[in-house]
Amino acid sequence: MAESAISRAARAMDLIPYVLENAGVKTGDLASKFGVTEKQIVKDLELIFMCGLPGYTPYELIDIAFADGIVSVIDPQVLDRPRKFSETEAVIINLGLILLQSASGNTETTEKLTSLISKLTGLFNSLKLVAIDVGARPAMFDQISDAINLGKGIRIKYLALSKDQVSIRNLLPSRIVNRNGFFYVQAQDIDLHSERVFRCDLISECEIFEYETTSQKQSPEGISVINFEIETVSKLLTERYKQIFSSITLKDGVYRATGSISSGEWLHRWVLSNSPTVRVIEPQEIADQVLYRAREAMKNYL
Amino acid sequence: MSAEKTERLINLTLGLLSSKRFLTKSEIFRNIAGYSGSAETMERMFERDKDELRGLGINIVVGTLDPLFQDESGYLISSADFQFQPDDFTKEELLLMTMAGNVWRESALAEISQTALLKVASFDGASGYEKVSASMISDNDFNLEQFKLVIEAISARKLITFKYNERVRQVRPYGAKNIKGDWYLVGEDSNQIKVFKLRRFESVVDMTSEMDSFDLPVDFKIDDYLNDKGPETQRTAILEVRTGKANALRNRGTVLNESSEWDELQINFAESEAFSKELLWFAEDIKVISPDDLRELMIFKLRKSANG
Repeated sequence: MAESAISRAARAMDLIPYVLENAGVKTGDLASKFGVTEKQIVKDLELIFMCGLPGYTPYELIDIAFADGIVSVIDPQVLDRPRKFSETEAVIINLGLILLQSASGNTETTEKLTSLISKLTGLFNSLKLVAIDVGARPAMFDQISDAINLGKGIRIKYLALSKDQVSIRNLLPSRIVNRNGFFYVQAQDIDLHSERVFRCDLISECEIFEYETTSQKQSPEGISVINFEIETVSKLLTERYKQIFSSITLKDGVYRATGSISSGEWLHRWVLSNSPTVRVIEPQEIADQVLYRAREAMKNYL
Repeated sequence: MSAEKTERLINLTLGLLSSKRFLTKSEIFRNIAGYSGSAETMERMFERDKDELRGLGINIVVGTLDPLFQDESGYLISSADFQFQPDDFTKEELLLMTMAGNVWRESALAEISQTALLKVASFDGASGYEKVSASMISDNDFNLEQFKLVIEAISARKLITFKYNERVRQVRPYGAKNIKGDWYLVGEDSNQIKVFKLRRFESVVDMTSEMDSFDLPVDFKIDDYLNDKGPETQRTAILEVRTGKANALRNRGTVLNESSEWDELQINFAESEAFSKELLWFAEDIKVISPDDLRELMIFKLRKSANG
């Protein structure tokens, strides 16, 4: 579908202040920054070259120098500063600032973020109407992010929920991600030579150490294709765990979900925890394992 | 064809932006490049152009040339509305906004943060905006177009129509909140303030009114809704926990008695259904002693599962 004239006009008007500030930029770089082809960028530049202020003499037109794939602006006319954020852009930047603020352990930075948030809130009316609940800041957040920035390793005491065990792990952390209200650190487990994800709030101790990087990866543990039945009262599960299901269909008032999941402790516990509204239908072997765990647990009450 | 229209939209914007006074339609048609044809044709072109620019968030102000004679109205775009001012942000603030934009790099919202970051990078003295970030949002995939429409409707106070729970509703969108990765709309539907989960919309969102179609209730605060504080009433449970097991529960409760196989644990909880799910995670390693309703709920759920 051809792009609308208005969205092309918006991009062309945004190109001018960007090139003005980043003189000598390559058209290829502009293409990747603005998310269009290089050919499109060239066409946009050729078009805006024809635009300007009433009168439209050379003195009133936007003037750019453009040769060998390198662009500079000679006269931007009135487009000498970036357009204001749209309300939606402002919302996204503001929510990002709120997240940074919630993760900041430095009082000075927190204050600067607070004042910037209130400045933006004065400029855009919807910011106070759109909120984000980012969850609590994990105790070890600063140590982990320091280690990431410095390229160092961390030795953590970690409670693995699926194994229900506390253990010491040596990690090379690569990034922190906030997902579904939890902070996770993605890291290379140095001893297991494998990429893993750890929930930050389950880390009880964290110590930074020097580590020489050698990258080695291992394939993940056994993955099985599993068919579930999920009752409609647990609709939330089908939404929250959408990523693990390759298909979800509603039939006879029950969801049928299929997913490739590493079989083992996590799976057993997840099914039990959501029982009886979630059931494993196939493979029989896994259904039996869950059944066995339920019977063992039931014995505690007999 | 489309290129001509793009040019005309840019020229109209630049013309209205550079003018010091309101421009009448006839001045616009005479002086701004791109308007041609019969009077009605130009009129139609201009009305559409104006709507499209407004749709982009550009504020075209309408006013009269002479305040004493309310004769012909004119149009203007003020620089303060259209552009950031050179001293709006310090260099440090530009850097913080860059980091804030990067938070969304792996989210469905990256498309929006990217265009915002380009504007930040167009400021005089902005430093490079590559990878300055220590944490990121990773969200469940969601419908970006729907999200944009909802935010736009909230900021422009436009009514929206969508199907939810098998009913088509016309809603005054008041605010939105992201809770644990999911987006919710708070709005008024048939004189009641309700919460809608964006993921559960059953149709596309239609904007069904002009801007400023309603007033936000003066006392509306998004923070009054969707609070995850939980119920105030807390109850106490007594559990038996197998030695060395259920560590996450132990961290939250108090061990009253230790023995060789089972430890007695006292722990507070808010709501039986949610707590039973948490307890079932530990399968055969825990036993509920009290309260009775929680114990019954555990037995009920386990019996169902154990009967295959």
